[in-house]
Amino acid sequence: MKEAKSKNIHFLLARAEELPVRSGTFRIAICAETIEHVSSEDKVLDEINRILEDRGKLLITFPVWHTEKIISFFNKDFMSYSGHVKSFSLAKIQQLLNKHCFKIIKKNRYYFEWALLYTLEAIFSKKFSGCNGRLRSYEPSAMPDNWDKLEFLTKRVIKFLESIFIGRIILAALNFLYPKTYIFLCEKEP
Amino acid sequence: MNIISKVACSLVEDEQRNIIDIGCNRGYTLIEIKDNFRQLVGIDCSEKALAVVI
Repeated sequence: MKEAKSKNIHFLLARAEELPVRSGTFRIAICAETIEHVSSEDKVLDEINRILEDRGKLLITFPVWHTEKIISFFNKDFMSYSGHVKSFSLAKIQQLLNKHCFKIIKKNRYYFEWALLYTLEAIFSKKFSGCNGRLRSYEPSAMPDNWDKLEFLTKRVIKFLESIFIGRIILAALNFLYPKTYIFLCEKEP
Repeated sequence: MNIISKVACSLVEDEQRNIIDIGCNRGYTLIEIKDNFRQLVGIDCSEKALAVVI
């Protein structure tokens, strides 16, 4: 176990399918932007169920299926470069959570701005050669400027919308229609 | 705070206050909520991501 700069945080290098943690030890688990990257979501949910206390809470996110389909329409390589192994429909997610004894307390759709950014990236990345289908990259050489500009502009627009009443209504509608992420709050059933 | 952090903090009920983040990447969420929990554990399979925060 390695310790972070903050003394109450500990980090472990491990796979989500085999959590090196004792059973029933946690009250809350977060699994955000992760399940779409693993090959066996059943194993991950089994493990989360094991490490949570009875009635422990799970906060889990899934990418929105129809948004990913639209992005993939503009860039066929989206799934491979995003590292997403699979997509989940809303019905499939609910079925999966129920199967692993998680009762859904609340669900919501979020991050329209990221859905928009990924879509713009998918559309416009074709205009640039040599950026491997992306405007941004973790590698400093691969055109980060274009992504930074796009991100800056999108965030400014979102901030403006959040500051006015009608803007907040528009944002809620956009989050409903074209969200990037489903967020589920669940409780482990004893 | 992002949405995940806000919801996680709203779930704090008592002194137990422990939380695990599976697929924590560079620990963004845990770092953001560290003052609201007594013990936080982050798990990730990327050595490169964890190296940033350790």
